[in-house]
Amino acid sequence: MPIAIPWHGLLVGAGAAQLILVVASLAIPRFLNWKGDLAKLRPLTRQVFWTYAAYIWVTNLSFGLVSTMTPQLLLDRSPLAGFVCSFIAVYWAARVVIQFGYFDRTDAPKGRFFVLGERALVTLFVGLTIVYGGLVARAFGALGR
Amino acid sequence: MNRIEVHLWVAAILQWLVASSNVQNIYIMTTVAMFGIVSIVFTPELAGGSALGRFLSDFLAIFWGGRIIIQLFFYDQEVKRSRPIANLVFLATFIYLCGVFAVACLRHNR
Repeated sequence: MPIAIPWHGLLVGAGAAQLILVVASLAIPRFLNWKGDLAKLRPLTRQVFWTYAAYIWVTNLSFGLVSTMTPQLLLDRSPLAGFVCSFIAVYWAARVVIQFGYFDRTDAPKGRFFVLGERALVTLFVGLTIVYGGLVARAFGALGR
Repeated sequence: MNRIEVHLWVAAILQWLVASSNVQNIYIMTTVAMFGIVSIVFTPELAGGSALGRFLSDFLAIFWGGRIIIQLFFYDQEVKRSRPIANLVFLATFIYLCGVFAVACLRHNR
């Protein structure tokens, strides 16, 4: 008997997790002392950095909003829904790769709080990759309704 | 292909150009390049053919509208004065992109 996967619930949960991430990420600049570090940069470089941060924040917010407010748009098995889910899955998978393959973690803040925080983040990124990856497979008929 | 779909194709090309100007941030480059791909591959949907397409048009209008505000009010005036042509090209591109997706939104929200 095929297993019924609660796609709607998983997607809304993934969206809620992204919205929590969006709110929590507002604290990152203070935790990592971006203001102090970025003060050493030229104004244009500093402004470009903040612009990129805003772009990413808005992108994450839109993922959370579409998943929680209008999940049916991503669940309708249309080619566009499959494409958007593919993009979101690759986006979060890339974030896991960046965490371990690109970030220099030797200078990361120490302490139990930060270690737990990093583990929670990585777990979230992996979970989001799995949910949206599953939706891609579903959109192409590989998984059940 | 109707007029808004032609503009969405132009928007796709402009978004790829914007993506290529952001190579220093691979996340932004990939995201904006994806917007370009969506604009080309799913043109009828973005022009109002599906609910998700309409959501994306709304989102892209807001996204590029935000970029206009950043260009006008956030970037250092002195830097913009020292590079007036680059500033104008970027501003015109963002206005065009915001305009195309805003028209697509208004068209299907009427």
